[in-house]
Amino acid sequence: MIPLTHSLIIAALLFTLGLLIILLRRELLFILMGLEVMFNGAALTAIAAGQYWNNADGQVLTIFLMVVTAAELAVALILVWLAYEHFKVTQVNMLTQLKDDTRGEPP
Amino acid sequence: MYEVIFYLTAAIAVLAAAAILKVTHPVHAALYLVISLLALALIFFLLGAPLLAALQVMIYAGAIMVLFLFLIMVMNLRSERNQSLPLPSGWKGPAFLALILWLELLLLLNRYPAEETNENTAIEPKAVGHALFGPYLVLVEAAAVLLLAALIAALYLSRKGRS
Repeated sequence: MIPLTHSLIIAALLFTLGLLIILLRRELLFILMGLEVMFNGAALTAIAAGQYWNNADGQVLTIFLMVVTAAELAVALILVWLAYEHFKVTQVNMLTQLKDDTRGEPP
Repeated sequence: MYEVIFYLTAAIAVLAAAAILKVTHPVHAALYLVISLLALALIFFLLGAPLLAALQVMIYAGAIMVLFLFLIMVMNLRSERNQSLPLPSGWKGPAFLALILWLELLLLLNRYPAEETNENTAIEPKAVGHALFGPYLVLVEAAAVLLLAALIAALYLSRKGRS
C-alpha cells in the first residue's frame, strides 16, 4: 500500500517540472507541453486522494479535467499554428505585437 | 514487489518530464511527453483506477499527442529542409524508458493477475459511472456545452479565406 504522501510528492514534482518547462523553454509548443505535465500532476493528486478516501469523486474530477484539457488544447494548438503562419516565429519573446513601444516618442 | 514497480514507474514519469527541459527538437519533447503520460497511466492503474488508466492512454497518449505531432508536422520546424535523415539519434532515451514500462507491464500481467494490485481499494468503472451520472449530471451537460464551444472555436479559427 502506497502512502498518500508519496503520491502527493510525485504529483508535486510533476507540477513543478511542468512549471519549470513553461518558465524556461520560451517556445509555444513547449509551453503547451508544460501545461500538459502540470495538468497530469493535478490529475494524480485527485486520483490519489480519491483512492485514499475510497471515493469515486477523484476519478470524476479527473474525467472533467481531461475534457477541459482537450477543449483547451484544440483551440490553443490552432492559435499556435495561426501565430506561426502570420509571424513565422515560435519563440514567445518575438511575439511582442501588443507591447507598447517604450523606446521612442508617442505616435 | 508492488511498491518497487510503483516507484520505478513514478521515477520514469518524473525523468521523462524532466527530459523535456533539455531536449531541443519538439518531436523529441513529444516522445518524452508520451512516455510520461504512459507511465502516469500505469501509476493510475497501480493506485486502483483502471478506468482512468484506460482513458489516459486513449485521450492523452492517443488523441492529444496526435494533435501535437500533427501540428509539428504542419509547422515543419526542421532547420535544414532537405537533409537526408540517417535514423536520427533522439529515439534512444524514450525507447529505453518505454522498454522499462513494457517490462513492468509484463511483470504485472503475468505474476500478479488481479488481486495483488491494490485490488482491495480499487474503484471500479461502475462506481465512477454511478457518480458521474448521478450527482454530477449537470456537470456532464456543462462539459458537453464546453466541448461544443471548443468545436465551434476551432472551426471558426481554421476556416478558409481569412481576410
